[in-house]
Amino acid sequence: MKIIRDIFISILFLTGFSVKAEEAHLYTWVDQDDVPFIQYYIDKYGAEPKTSVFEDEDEAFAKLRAGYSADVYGPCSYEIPRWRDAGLIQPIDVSKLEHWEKIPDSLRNMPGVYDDKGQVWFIPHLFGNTSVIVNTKLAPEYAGDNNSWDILWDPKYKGRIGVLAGAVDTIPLVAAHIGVNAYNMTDDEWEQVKVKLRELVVQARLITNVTGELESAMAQGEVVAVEAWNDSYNNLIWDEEFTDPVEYMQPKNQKIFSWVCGFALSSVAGKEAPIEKAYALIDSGLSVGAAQFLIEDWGYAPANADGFGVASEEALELIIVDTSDVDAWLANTIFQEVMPNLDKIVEEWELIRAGVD
Amino acid sequence: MNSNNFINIEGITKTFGSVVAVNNIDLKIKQGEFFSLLGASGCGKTTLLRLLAGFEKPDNGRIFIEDENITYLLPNQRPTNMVFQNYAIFPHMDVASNIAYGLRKEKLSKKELNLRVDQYLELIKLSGYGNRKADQLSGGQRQRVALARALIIKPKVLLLDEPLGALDKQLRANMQIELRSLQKDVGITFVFVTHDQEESLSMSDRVAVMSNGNILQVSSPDHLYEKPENEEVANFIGTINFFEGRISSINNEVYTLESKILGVTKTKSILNLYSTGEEVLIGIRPEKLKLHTNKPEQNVGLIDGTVENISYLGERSHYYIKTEGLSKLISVSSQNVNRAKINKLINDKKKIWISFDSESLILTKKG
Amino acid sequence: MQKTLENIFSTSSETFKAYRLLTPSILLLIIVFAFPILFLITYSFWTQDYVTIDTTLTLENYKTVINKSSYHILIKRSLTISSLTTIVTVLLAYPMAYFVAFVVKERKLLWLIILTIPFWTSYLLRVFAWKLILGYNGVINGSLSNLGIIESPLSFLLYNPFAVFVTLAHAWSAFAILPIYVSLEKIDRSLLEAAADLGDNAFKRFCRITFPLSFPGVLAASLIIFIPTTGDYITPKLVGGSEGIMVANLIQIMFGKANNWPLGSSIAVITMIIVTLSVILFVLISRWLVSKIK
Ligand SMILES: Nc1ncnc2c1ncn2[C@@H]1O[C@H](COP(=O)(O)OP(=O)(O)O)[C@@H](O)[C@H]1O
Ligand SMILES: [Mg+2]
Repeated sequence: MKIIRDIFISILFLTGFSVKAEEAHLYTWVDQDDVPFIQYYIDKYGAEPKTSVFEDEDEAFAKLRAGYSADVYGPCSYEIPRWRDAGLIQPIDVSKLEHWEKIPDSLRNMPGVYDDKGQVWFIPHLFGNTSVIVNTKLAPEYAGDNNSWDILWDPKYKGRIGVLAGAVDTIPLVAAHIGVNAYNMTDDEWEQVKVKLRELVVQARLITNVTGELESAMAQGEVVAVEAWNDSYNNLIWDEEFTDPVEYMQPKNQKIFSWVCGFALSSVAGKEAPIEKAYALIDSGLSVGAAQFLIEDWGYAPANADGFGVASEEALELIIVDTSDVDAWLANTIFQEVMPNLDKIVEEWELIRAGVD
Repeated sequence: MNSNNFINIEGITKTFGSVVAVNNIDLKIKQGEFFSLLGASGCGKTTLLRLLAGFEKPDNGRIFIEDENITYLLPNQRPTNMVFQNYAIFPHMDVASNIAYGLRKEKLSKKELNLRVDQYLELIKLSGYGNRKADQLSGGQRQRVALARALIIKPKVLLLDEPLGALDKQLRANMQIELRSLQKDVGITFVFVTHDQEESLSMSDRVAVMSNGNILQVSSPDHLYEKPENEEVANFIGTINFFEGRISSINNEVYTLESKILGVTKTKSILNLYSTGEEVLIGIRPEKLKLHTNKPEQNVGLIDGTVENISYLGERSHYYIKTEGLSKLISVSSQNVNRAKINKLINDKKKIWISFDSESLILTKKG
Repeated sequence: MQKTLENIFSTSSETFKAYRLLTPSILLLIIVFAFPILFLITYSFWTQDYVTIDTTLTLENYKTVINKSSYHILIKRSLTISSLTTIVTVLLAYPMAYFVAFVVKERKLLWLIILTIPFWTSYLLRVFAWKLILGYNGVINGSLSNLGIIESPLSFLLYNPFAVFVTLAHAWSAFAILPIYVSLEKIDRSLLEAAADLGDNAFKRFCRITFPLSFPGVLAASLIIFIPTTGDYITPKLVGGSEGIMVANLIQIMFGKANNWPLGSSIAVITMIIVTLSVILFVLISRWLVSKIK
């Protein structure tokens, strides 16, 4: 009988039931549990919070729906509606947050933060961009003022283009390129976008979730341009062996995309550890120390604008944000949101990627 | 070529590392002969057979069949076929396909092929077994399938490696007769390996006795038994009593022998192998000795002694006789005609007499 | 509870004792195998809309799968790639297994270990290794351009079905070598001598004896490769490019990003059925063909 008891206990462990924890639990992206992100909490409570990580939000969503839980989650803004509708998260009382006021207005009012009733569901933590990186030595005609996403469909560069596999990034970008708002599009418009997507698939050398692959394809000269986040741009600049000039495209008549990741409060927060500890966990991510670390080590912009004041000049130059007026700069970009009908779009995108739709 | 050296083996030697399996053997086999290789296990019979089949390359020497040098031909190029010790029936094929195996290259029509297979199935008394798989056959049946499979392609020489070794006694006796008559029918030269001396004697036209990679003697079965050329052969074929002796004179193939036990006797030998004064062994088979309870009326060819032991063998018994001046017991085989009388005398430990005929003495070299 | 169970077991026969010894493994099988499959089948009859699962039983998903031609293309593509992989792997593995079984006389184990080295490293590592070999600045392109054979790197090596099946073939070769080796090693050598004796040259001997007798090993190897490669999604994802995407990638997307477990389940169930049927067909046909060898 001991065997059966042991099996039962191991199943409990595997499925995430755990012994009562005194500390709050953060479930977030890989590496977003680095010490600078939790230092504030440690200072405040003299103990480390519990952390666990996911590699993508779908994995996290599936795991949470299967019964896993923590106190604070680290999704990006476009995930919020789905997580809310699935009952995984609860509204946040911003008055309990020390750093809420430090966040620029444009971020505090972005889609996903407030619901219709004025309740807050999402606290921005960091933001980055989605656009195109171009090697201007190989494609000089797209340099500077001539920045254009047209390069992705340029027959001259067939087979020398890299694209992000994520539907959240690529579909709004392709839509925007033909003047369609992916967050509010008709079926007809979606069909037009699909045409462009099919062309893109034929054009692309690689379509991947792994940003490192895009970076190394750029670094090896295998591709001339990739759709990418701005941290990939950073990495290419830092790459000492790669000396070709690259630009992070900000096309003249085209707003680039901003994505924002942050924190959501678990619907079970406060059950095992005091709710104050969960809020402290969010405040940890928003602290100035964490903000500086984000800029200098990750090449991302922090939601806490005070971070820009303490980070090194060198690092600031590489994040393409205009730090003198973050609100104005962000207003000139498109915030990523959730596309209505996302599930269907994802499936169709997958079939297009496979070349069978 | 004359038919006496249909197969001609010249100075064949085969070694495996330090083991000399076949040692410089010369051998001639006649066409249509049932020829046996007889010898104890490990004496090199299989190796010699495999040299004939082409599975082994000799270190030295040559092999001819019908004057064709086949020493370096591959097995599939030789006019020989083999029945393996384990029969080597192809397990993934039925009986008919096994038998037809070697015929396929002859490009016969399907009808003709089936006809031939049926014919051979009949020959081996397995008509109607064509569709059976190998694992549905008994040992004897497998042996016959292997035989048919080899015979159907009409080899010049059939090589058989202890083909009856795995069969039980009764079946074995039947198969010996069948095999012999089959060989007569098909007229193919058989080279038959066995370690069973009775088997080789009853089946063969001629037998080669092997020992340690050498051939000791090649003779017809009766000759082998009656006139073994040396002690080893005599011992290997049946039982024999040996006595020490000396040749006191030779006169026109008539040898006068002196022996402590046998006394002075005369015997014939056509072989010009011995010289006067030579120490020899004089052998005599147990069944050539006669047991007497009363002293017979003769002075030569008589030994006296007492019976030490009897082994009862059904139609006859073996008596072991102790005689003065000889440490070994003399073995006498006697038909069980008058057993009760003899046994009674023996129980009384009375003296008995053994008589022999000088004609039946076997003269061999002292080795 | 413990007492009653103890009683049930102790009053029983020897066979029951055997089952009792087996209990942990049967339990494990149920947990890791039967249970997930039942779960999958059940799911395939449900439907999902956004975040709610409707547990009314329906054939809706199956209708979708049957009517959607793009799914069929993906399934066909998977079967093609895995069949090719199977064929190529078995063709490569057979001579290696043959070599160890028939040519090597000593240290066979050492040879086997050497030949199955791919099997001793992590699967992902092998896939990445092939990426490095086939890549733009990879081993092949590097050597070719060093030799002056090409001026700019060949791009057709990576990100296509070819790369998928080269990678899969290498990754699975060890699984093919072992069963083929075992079946070759088991062949009684006197059968080959008998065939030679009956007039066959080396080639015919191979076709008529060695191959048919090693066929169970070939069959086992083929199934061991075909079944899992049809369902592989890591390799196509990493080296397959667009044309190399297979049905398992679609299933993965359904369980992940596209968030439609029921539809994903029914694609999985249908794929499973098709794979099972193909395997049965393959086994029957090839058995029949081999039995024709005379
Ligand atoms: N392939 C081989 N490798 C090494 N030694 C062998 C081989 N075949 C036979 N021998 C040796 O040669 C000798 C004769 O063997 P064999 O011809 O099989 O004898 P027999 O058939 O008379 O029993 C034996 O000592 C045997 O061990
Ligand atoms: Mg032998």
